[in-house]
Amino acid sequence: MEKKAEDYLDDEFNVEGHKYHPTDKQQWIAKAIVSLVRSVKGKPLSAPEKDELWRNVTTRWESERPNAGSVLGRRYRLWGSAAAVIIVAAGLLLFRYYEDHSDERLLNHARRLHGAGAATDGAPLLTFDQDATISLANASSIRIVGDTVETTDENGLTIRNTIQTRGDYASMTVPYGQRTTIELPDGTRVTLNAGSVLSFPHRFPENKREVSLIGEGFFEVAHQPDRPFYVYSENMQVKVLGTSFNVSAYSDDEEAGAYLVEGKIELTPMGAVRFKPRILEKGTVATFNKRQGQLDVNLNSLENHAAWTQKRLVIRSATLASILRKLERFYNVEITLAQHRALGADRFSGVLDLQRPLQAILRDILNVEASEIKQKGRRITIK
Amino acid sequence: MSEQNVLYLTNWKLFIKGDDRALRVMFDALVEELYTFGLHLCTDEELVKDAIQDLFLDLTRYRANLNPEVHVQAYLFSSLRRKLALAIKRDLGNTQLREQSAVHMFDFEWDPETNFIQREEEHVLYAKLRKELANLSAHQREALYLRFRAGLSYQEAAMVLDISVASCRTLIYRTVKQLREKLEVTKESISSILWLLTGPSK
Repeated sequence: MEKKAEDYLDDEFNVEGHKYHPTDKQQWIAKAIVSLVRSVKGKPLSAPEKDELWRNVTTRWESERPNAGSVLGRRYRLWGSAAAVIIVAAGLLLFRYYEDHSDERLLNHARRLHGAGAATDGAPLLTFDQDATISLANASSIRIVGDTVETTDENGLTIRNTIQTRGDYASMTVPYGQRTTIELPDGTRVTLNAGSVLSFPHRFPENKREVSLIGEGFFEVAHQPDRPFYVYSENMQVKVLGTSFNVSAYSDDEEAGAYLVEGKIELTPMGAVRFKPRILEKGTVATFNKRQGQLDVNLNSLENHAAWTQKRLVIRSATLASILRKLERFYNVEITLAQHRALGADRFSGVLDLQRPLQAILRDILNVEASEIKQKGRRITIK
Repeated sequence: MSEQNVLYLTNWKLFIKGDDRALRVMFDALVEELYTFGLHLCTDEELVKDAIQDLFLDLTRYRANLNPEVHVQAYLFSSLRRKLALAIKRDLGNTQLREQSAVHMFDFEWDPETNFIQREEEHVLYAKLRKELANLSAHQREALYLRFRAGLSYQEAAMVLDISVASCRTLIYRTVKQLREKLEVTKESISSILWLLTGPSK
């Protein structure tokens, strides 16, 4: 019996067109059916649509991930105890960030380190991908110049380390209770507040400078008009058109914000967040409320959001809960407010001198007579 | 197993073992096919995108419990199909949406220039074949699509269609037969064009 089109197509291995003899009528029909079905029009997914889709997946994925990378966290703590400048060879820190987009890639980098608990304990660390980590326990300033990391200790002694890494990214991790200033390869100075991670390429490309931040940083950006400077954080992207500003993007804070001291910055949403891009002028503060998903921009030159760089905390109508969270980070402690004290929602204003002992600050804020402050190691309980 | 399937399965297993990157590899390799497939089931682009997003999130959520031995593409296609069916059902319950029903009949469309047809005579035949494809049921078109466009095996296509492998094979066989008969029988002219085209066998 003559083999028909359906017989040809029934054969699992004959689907590929090249196996057909084009002069056979049945084979011609079989081939025509396959090629028509195969060329059915699909609506192509554009690259931005595809990226957005993937970004939505990763954002949700990250947010649902319980205690991401806790195994890595333990490693960090071990390293934190080393007080000297050490370079440790490859392989211990395995990060995975294969996203095509530098913003997501950079941010994931910071997320991983932050999630790994790197920002909670020990000494500040400078990490170069999986290749090397430098502990900065005694360093008072850090500079990256070309392929060299210069660390200067409190006695003015400078140590230079050559960066040997196959990777592209470096991350500065600052644990709770500490602050660090780092000078990036382009001369930009970033002061990082407690519990922050800054990720950046250790060599900036010619056309732009990109960094990502989780936590809080005060940026003094080196002026290079044809090489814009971007800061990516969980909810917003800051494009620098001018010079110095403060970005606050702690993952455990209800609000994220940018405060501009000089020049101009442009704020655009990141990830799943939606708000209209805004240009901030000098003296304005933008606050993004994560729960309400809303960005507010106010002219507010009175409130110095960068005061923490001078070891002062300026508070304006902040809840006690949010103040305590800032203090926890600054002093690296855990503060528990007894539940029957309905103070958590009360709002406070004022300036706190962060060079004073924490107990003294707490006594300033709270009504001494009514409060009992107990400290046991890193744990502080207020009754 | 095709080269593609080996790639999917390798990454599938890596992902289950904890390699985050493998999910991205699978996403990149399959998202376009999933999207195109999805839009054949449902015309609402946002609904399809949401379903795909959900699908990949499910993989991260149930990661540890995923079966390491699956036909990856078929598994994803069938999950997407199920998700869309649920979403459409939900939307149909919503009176506002009833008029602009999102259900797609798995219609086939072509760009005018897709088939590189050189001979004038072939155009007539292709046009006829397109018309006959349009006369098939959505179920038939979907089966052809899964088998020839998505390149699934009978077993995989059966899994997506939620029918037995034997039924799937019969379905495709009969559909091709139906198309072939229409093409051969209908008009004298077409049959003779076909004859002209392929020539008498020597």
